[in-house]
Amino acid sequence: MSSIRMKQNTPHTAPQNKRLASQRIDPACLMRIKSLELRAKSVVEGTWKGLHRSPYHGFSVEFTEYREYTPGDDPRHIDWKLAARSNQHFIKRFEEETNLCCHMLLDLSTSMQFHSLGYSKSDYAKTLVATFAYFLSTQRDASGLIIFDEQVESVVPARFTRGQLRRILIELERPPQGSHTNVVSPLKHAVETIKKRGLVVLISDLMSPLDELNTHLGYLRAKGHEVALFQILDPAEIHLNFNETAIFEDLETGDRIALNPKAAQASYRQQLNQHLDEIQTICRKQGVHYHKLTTDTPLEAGLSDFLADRAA
Amino acid sequence: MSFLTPLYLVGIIAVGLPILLHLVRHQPKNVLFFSSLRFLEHKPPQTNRKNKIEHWLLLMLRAIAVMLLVTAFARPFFKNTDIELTAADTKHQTILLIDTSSSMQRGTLWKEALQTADEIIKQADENQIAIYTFDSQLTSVKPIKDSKQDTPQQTQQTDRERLTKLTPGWNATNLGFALSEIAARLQQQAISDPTGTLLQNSTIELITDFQAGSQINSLSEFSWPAEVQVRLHQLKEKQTSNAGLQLLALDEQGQATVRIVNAGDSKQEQFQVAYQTALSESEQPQKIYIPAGQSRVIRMPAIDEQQPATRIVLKGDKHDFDNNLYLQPREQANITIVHYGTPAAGSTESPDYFAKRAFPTTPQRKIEFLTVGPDSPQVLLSVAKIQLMIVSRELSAEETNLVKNYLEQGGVVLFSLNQQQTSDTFQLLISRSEQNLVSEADVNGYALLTNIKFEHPLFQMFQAPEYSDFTNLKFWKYQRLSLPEDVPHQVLARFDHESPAIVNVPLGQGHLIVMTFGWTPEASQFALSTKFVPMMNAILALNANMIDTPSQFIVGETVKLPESLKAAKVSVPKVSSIQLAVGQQNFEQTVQPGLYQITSQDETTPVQKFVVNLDIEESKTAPLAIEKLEALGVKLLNHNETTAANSAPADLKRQALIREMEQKQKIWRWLIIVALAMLGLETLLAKWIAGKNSATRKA
Repeated sequence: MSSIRMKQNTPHTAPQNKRLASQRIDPACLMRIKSLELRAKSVVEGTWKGLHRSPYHGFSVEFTEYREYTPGDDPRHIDWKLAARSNQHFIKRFEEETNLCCHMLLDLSTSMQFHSLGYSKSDYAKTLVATFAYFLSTQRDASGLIIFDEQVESVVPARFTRGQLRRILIELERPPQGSHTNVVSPLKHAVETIKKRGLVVLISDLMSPLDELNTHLGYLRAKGHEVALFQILDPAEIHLNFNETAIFEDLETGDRIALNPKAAQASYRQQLNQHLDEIQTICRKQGVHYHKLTTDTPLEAGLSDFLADRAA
Repeated sequence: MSFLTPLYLVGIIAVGLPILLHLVRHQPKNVLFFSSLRFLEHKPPQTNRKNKIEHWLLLMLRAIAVMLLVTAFARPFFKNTDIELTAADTKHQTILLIDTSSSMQRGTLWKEALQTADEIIKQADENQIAIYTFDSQLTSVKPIKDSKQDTPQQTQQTDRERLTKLTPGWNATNLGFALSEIAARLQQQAISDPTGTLLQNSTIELITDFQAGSQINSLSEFSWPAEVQVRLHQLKEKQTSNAGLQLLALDEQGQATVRIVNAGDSKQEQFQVAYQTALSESEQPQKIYIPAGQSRVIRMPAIDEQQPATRIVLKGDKHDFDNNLYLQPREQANITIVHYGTPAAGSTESPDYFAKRAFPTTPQRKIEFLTVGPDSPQVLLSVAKIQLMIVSRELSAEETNLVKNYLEQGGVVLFSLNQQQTSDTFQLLISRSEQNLVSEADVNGYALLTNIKFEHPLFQMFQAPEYSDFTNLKFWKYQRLSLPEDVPHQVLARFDHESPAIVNVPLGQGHLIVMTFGWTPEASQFALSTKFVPMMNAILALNANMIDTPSQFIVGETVKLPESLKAAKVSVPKVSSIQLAVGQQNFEQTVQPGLYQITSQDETTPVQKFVVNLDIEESKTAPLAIEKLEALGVKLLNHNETTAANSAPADLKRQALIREMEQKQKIWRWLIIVALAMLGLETLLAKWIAGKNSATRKA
């Protein structure tokens, strides 16, 4: 049983979550913090603190952490100190066994560089990943990271060690290489490399064709993974609310078109909505948690929605 | 308005460019980076005809800026009718400036100068010529204004005739003054010509030996006009040596201190200096060694009193124009003082005893002190010869008239009211008959002097604090004088009882100094005090004729004449005597070295003698480097070079004139400034419009 789910099951969570919604950190303010770790900390320990008043709570309780020795168990796992105190034999649970293994697939293609608010989608996505990683590390959960664009760029295998968060942050802070998006290759990679069942979180703007998305998400799900899809979008991408006539240049392909945005707005919105609907259909079909996050949404809100969604 | 380069006006076509730019709609320039164009359809911006010219103000600003720039490139200028006239009538003007200083007397310099001047007149051809000579002053022979007369042939002939009349004088050279004066006159002449063509067409032909003593440094205070050019004809003497004499001091014993200056280019270094009297020459000349370019100061032996020397002669120098130094030892002045007093030989009770001793004879003056007692035989005295009259007794009517007459003529009278009887004489002198004008003062103990007017010449010497103490001067008795206000008078000192002690009453042209006390020990301590002698001599010095006049002058210097001189004449060396006008204050005709004597018409012996010598600067005859003039800003022309304005043909001249005119007006600058201002305004306006229209930012 994952610790995330366990904590979300506490009865006081929902009202507290509502109360804190007004106190969420504005993403623009958050993005002004240079250090990713600090950003993650601000999200988790600042605003989210009420949500997880005691992140260590689950580990401190004796009976949830031990089970009684039954013959056949490896005697190496017997907690002898406890046996000396209580004259009972308990087996200490392995951490790996009990904790969540979360793989985050982060899209850092050039389309993620788009920004209309002073920070890009990739900044937002990185903060999201960092927040996840920090949150997981505080929960003693294992986290891993796969960064991709056209192909898989870097991989941090999922572990629960002290330096894991640091490794992930270093990887996130690396300057972006950037090319166009190909969601298939990281999904393929995940299918092939992740042996242990766990949570796979795909973070991308998904502005690429969706030809094989359905298939590969299906593979992942078939392997027993829980999959969540965070689609990060800039508000400007959704509304296309530019006043000025300009040349629009595709960040990924470099194609240019001269455009009067007002004239093109309606058709754009229609096509985009169609695309988004398509994604949602795929997710629903494959049992994937789908979350659309615009970069002006406070991170905590996105995360809370996600957690609520899992808890449901 | 005309244009210097009208072809540039073709560029006015460029004004269509902004209009074209405003009409032609370009692809939008701003680029927005967008994440993906997958969902965008290509919809080019609308180009409605109505929207083609959106910002008329911007268009106007741009068009005006282009037009201004094009006009600026065409170099516009305003034509002036005066300029056209001057352009049509542009002739070259030559100013012939000839050095007539005494150094030009050397060897063949003057001959060469005349030849050079003659050639210049010939070459000048149809040009206008003005002729000036200079030494310490600038003299116009043919001024600039007169240089537009007659036919060229007539002019040349007249000019040559004028040249023949010129000779070098004895004055020093002041080239700096002459050049700056000429340049200033040319500038004055060119005020009506804004193009400066008149100045450009003027050349100063300077003929001079350009010696070291030319005094060109004054040019550094003058801003030389860039248009005026000077062609220097530097005349050089073959025998370059020269040395000169300068009198530094001549003391009372007749000993002269002389500086001998050897010119920088001298080859001679051994010289002899000797006195020369009117009759003979000193037998023992003093030898002296002076290296070239240096000077030595020597002290000559005392002049023999029997045969006073008239000059000092320098020997061993080839150019003798500056080898004579005229001397005029200061003569002992004859001063006559008449005392109307009571002579009492050896008696300290008589004022005469002290008065006589207050005026000793010195080397500067010979005092003749005459005491005229009430019973003295009548002496015939010429009033003009008396420098001071002292009255300490009652005068007879005749004597009173004499004194009055003397006062009228500007004499100084010291009147001592030492007793009650003298008061009648005093009242007669000031022509007053009121009672109680003078009365015996009642002195309790003694009286002291107060309210002393130290600024008056009588007390000026006591002004310093160490001498201004008069408290030791006690007066036992004095006369109380109450002068009516309508009698002009000045109280120079008062007694502590406020009664006047010393009064100055101007009468006629003279001064009546009244002392209301006696100076004998019986009346006061005045005669025994240290103040007595200085004050008596100060009274003597009040006489205007006593003003000490110097006797050594330099050629060209102005001599101040004594005031009392009437109908006098001055004998000038080598010239018949000059009659002075009545009341003439200054004598300016010190044109050559020598002894000058001023003689009154009714006298045979000279009233005043003075000598005039050469300026020592004239002896510094080493030629100067031409660069010195250039360093002072004077534009020099080479001998073969002609002025730009003169050499150019008529069209080129006209072109040059137009160019100058355009350069002077510089309208293009203003046009560029206005164009820049327009562009600045356009930028601001465009930015404002852009800011207003664009809410979105570049991604």
